[in-house]
Amino acid sequence: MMRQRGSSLLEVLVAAAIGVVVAIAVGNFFLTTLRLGKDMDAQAALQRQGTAIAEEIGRRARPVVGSLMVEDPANPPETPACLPLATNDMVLIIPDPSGSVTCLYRDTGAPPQVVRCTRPTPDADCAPVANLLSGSLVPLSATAWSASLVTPCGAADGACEGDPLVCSVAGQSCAAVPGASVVFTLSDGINRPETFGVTIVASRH
Amino acid sequence: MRVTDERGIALLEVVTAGLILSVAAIGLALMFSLGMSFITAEGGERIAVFLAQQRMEELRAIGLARAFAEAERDIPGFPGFRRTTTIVGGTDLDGSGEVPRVITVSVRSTIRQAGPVTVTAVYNRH
Repeated sequence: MMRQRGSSLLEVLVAAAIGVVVAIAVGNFFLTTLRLGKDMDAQAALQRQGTAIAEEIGRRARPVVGSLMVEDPANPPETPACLPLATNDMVLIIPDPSGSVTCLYRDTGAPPQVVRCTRPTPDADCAPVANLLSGSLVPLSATAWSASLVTPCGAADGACEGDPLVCSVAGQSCAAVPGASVVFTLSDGINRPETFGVTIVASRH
Repeated sequence: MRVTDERGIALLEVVTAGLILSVAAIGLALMFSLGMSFITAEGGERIAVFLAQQRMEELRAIGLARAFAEAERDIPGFPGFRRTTTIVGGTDLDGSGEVPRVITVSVRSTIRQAGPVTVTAVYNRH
């Protein structure tokens, strides 16, 4: 038994070394698992938030489909319904039978947000300003936003040209505006950005 | 005390245990990467659903009666997604002689892990 004392110290050292290596590996694995779990939660939350916003836009636009409008801040109309707003992107305008308009746009401040407001009359302020990205578990920003009108001509891959506007595809209308399409991208700054979209069009049999 | 015999076995035991643990760890790690890829695929699938619904809404703008089929084509602004529109005659269920048109829009992704998504509408003359 006396001969084995030295060996048992070596054994302890070897066992400790193996134990340390195993502990580091297990610790690393545990931390990676935690981080991955958080990433997955954040990505799923981002997808839920974007889907909810797309549904919200669709729910508001569907009852008034056919009279939706868009306004371009780079080329504003003479009597804008929503502009000026803090955005460089197209603004989706949803008219209300009462005469007021609801404006949906991307506030291009920092960080960019998806914003909705209501303007009772053209002279009044657009209020209340609701940030559709608030209430998220992690701060979100809108990295892209586009709003466009859907016309029968555009749907048939035609282009509206001339004055008055004539569709390059025979038999398709440029005047009728049956709906709109919105596409936007959300990011939480860490994970993969996700793109969402909604298209609302009145049915023409 | 047969310590002399057990020395080698103790190391073998540790190595075996390590192997078993690493197999379990690899299994767990795979589970997470699988979960992540499911969530990524969910994102791609959602875009595919949107693109299919978008085309269907556009066809409604033209009028489903005049909707036209399209061979598989790229979608501007959405690289990696390809969309097909098919129109076939349906079954004349009520014997009225009117054959409904079954309009199907299918979107598949060539890069993201998303299965083909199909949206179908049936147009029947009133």
